[in-house]
Amino acid sequence: MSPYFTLFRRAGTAALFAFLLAPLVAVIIVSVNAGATPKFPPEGFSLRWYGAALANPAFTGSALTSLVLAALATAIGTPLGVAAAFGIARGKMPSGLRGLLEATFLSPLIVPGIVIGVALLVTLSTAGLRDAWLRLTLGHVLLVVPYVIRTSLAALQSFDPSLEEAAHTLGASRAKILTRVTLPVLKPAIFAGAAFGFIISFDDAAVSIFLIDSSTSTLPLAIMSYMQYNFDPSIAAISSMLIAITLAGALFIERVFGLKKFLGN
Amino acid sequence: MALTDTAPPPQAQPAPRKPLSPAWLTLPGLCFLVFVLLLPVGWLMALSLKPSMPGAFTMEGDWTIANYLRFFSQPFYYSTLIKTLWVSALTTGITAVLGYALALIIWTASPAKRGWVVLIVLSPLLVSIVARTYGWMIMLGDRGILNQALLGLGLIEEPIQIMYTAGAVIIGLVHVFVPFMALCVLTSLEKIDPKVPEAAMTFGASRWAVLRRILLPLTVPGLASGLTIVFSLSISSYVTPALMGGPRSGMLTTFIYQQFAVTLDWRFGAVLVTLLLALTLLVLTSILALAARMTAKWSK
Amino acid sequence: MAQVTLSRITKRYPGSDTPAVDDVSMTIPKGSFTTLLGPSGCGKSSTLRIVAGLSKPDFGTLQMDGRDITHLSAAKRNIGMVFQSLALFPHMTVAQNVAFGLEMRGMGRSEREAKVARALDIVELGHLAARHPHQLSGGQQQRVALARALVVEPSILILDEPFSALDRKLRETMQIELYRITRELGITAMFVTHDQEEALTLSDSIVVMNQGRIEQQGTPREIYGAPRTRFTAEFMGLSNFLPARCSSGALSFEGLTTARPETLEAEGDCTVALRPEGLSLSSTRPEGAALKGHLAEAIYQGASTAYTLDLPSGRRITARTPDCGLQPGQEAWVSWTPGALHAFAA
Ligand SMILES: Nc1ncnc2c1ncn2[C@@H]1O[C@H](COP(=O)(O)OP(=O)(O)O)[C@@H](O)[C@H]1O
Ligand SMILES: [Mg+2]
Repeated sequence: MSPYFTLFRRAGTAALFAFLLAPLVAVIIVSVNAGATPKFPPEGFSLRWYGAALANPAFTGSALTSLVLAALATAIGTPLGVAAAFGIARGKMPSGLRGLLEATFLSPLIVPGIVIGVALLVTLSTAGLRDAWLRLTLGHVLLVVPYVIRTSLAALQSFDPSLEEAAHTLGASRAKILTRVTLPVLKPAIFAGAAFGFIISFDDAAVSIFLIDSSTSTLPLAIMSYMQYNFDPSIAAISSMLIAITLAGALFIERVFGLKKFLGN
Repeated sequence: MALTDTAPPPQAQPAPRKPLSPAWLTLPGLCFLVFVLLLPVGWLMALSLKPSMPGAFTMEGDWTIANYLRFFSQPFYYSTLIKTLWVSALTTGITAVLGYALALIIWTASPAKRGWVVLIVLSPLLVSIVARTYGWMIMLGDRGILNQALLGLGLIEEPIQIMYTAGAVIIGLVHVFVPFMALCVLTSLEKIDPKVPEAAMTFGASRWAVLRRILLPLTVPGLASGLTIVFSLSISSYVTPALMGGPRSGMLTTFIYQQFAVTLDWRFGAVLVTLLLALTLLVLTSILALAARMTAKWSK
Repeated sequence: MAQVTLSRITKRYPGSDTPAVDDVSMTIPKGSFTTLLGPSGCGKSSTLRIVAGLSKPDFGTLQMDGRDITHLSAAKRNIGMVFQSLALFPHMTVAQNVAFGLEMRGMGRSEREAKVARALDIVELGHLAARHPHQLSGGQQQRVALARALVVEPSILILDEPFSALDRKLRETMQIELYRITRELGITAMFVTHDQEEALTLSDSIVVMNQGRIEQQGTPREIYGAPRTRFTAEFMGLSNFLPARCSSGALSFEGLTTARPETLEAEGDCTVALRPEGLSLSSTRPEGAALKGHLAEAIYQGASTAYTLDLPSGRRITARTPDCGLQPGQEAWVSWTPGALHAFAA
């Protein structure tokens, strides 16, 4: 291997990695900056901006909203998605219909988030439903369902049907087969899909931006609106906390299911 | 088989009733999807065919294509479409090159390092979109790290404007979408027997020839799905253009936001939504069809 | 333990022209080990699944100890089944896997634990009770599947090619183990394989199947020693098929007339088969019945050599014997031990 090629490859790899990590590292460094503006190099170490972020009711209130919303959407979307995945995988139907159903259920992934938000805003307003929580919940369930379907469907398609037959020959009823064998075997996949849906919902801004109202906002949108008028490092602090939370969630999913399965097509 | 002329043996019990087909399990989800996504989007599309009237969101009025004519006759409007297309195309092109390089880096990494490399490549996805964008604002702002560094090195006299330009939008989008591209290409690369490139090298093929003549053709499916995903994500992205391109980024999605949240001309906004959806579907189907044609030859 | 009787069982899958199981009748006596033997796709699994209750026959009935169970749910048939994929529950420990059937029968914890421990002892896995299936070797997983099926004291034990995924050595060990366990416990078993040696090793009775139908049924000795059809003969490793004629007391083929084998039931046109391992070659005419031919090929195979002989009729036969020093191109006589010649209706 020629030395120039090796050098070129090393430099290229380093530059690419720097590009990927730069904004994340910048956020973390700025978050512990003692000064009042994001400066580089930082003017001393301080955790005061973490305190400021946690004391800001706009952040804490919206963080709670986002958490409850993501939990609610996941709680509704997971059973919907799992049931649909069972129907698609196990129902007797022509393969064309199966493909169509699958495409329909994955369509929220294709429709731009802002379009989902606008469409819900317009139709719900027409129907006289203006409650922010209702709108947000509907929109976020839509975000969660495709991820649950994707993982559940993959798991169902690789599910060995003789597991259920074995349980049946051993005397298990249909209900027992479902609760003692099928669902437990699918559990990691369902769990991973739900966890992923939770993160997507928690992180969403594009769908929610039309669905919030003056008294109810989600965390990403609260940060966005704060950013329009302020640039102090408390955003860096809350961003760092978000990085830590998402990273922990991602590592958790990776442990139970493997992250690549979601992000690939 | 002469089964009919002998009486069947007595069958003790009647066959049990057939349980309901599992296909019905899709019904609740399907209803939800129809009422919360398909019908609303359809409603919005229909709304685009009603005369423009700021503040009105009901279906009153005659059917008309006036809104579409208005969009395509005024440069201020249709330039958002053009800008969305070229920004997305440029984003996709840059993402393809960087993503391909990252996929090769992962593919050739030793097993010990591989986990770390994958984690670094995926890191943009693991971080909240607002946090990520804020990081870029710190990096690229007028008094951001990059400008400070360039000023400090004496390379520039005064800060260069990066934030709130198309360049900033492209940087932000490439950063988020590069992991998707890398993973798509990697999926294809992993199907290649590592001995194939080695064998080509023993025949005297150069590194460049191996990449161009062997790896590239074999990774067309992954590359195509990567291009599709990144392009459609680019045209439909909202947060990055809004934050890094500024409110007047001139992209279709930010324009949609303006129509629905500021101008309140929902019927004209519905035109933009329809165009955005049509564009997304067009891109998805055409690229996938192209890839199917290109791979039909050897992937049987 | 129970006796199971299949009467005229027929099953055709939707979209298929020919039935997968075609008018199959047989009885598996109490305590007997019966094997369905046949090539892949001949309907063995389909038959087995009907007996297990996992699929319903289109026609025919199934009886267990005289009781009609054709429409009884698999859950109530009291069977133990070992699947080709083993189908161990991946989320349960070995002990939980084995206990599953007992739990479904509503058995109390202490009784259950005692039975599980005994079943695991039988398959010599007591020390691995707390492991999960993926922490076991292939042979150990096999034993768990067997214990899980046995612990419920099934009326019939059903095994669908359970050893096909194992390497040869492990397969032989497992065969011996299965033989020991089923005979010690006096279990009625229905076994499926496409491996004739496995069938001969394990079975009290073998049912040869071909295209959904029963080709021949009998003890291993009968099936091996007196195949009644060309299909069974081929499946049992016979080759060298020669057209023949038989009349009362005599059998003639290739210009040779010998005594008629006792097992032959046909009259007129029939087929003779010569087992390659039972043939011997010599350069001079041996005593008794022999065919003369032209030695075309000799392929050294270690313990034996495969000789190909062209007969005057133009047909070829193959003999597999220890090296006898003859070279291709020479004339040679081939003769056979009494058990090597079989004849059946054409
Ligand atoms: N579920 C099924 N649907 C349709 N055809 C089947 C099904 N199961 C088996 N068959 C067909 O029935 C025939 C017998 O199959 P099987 O009983 O599995 O054979 P074996 O176990 O002897 O290999 C084969 O031609 C097979 O393709
Ligand atoms: Mg089979």
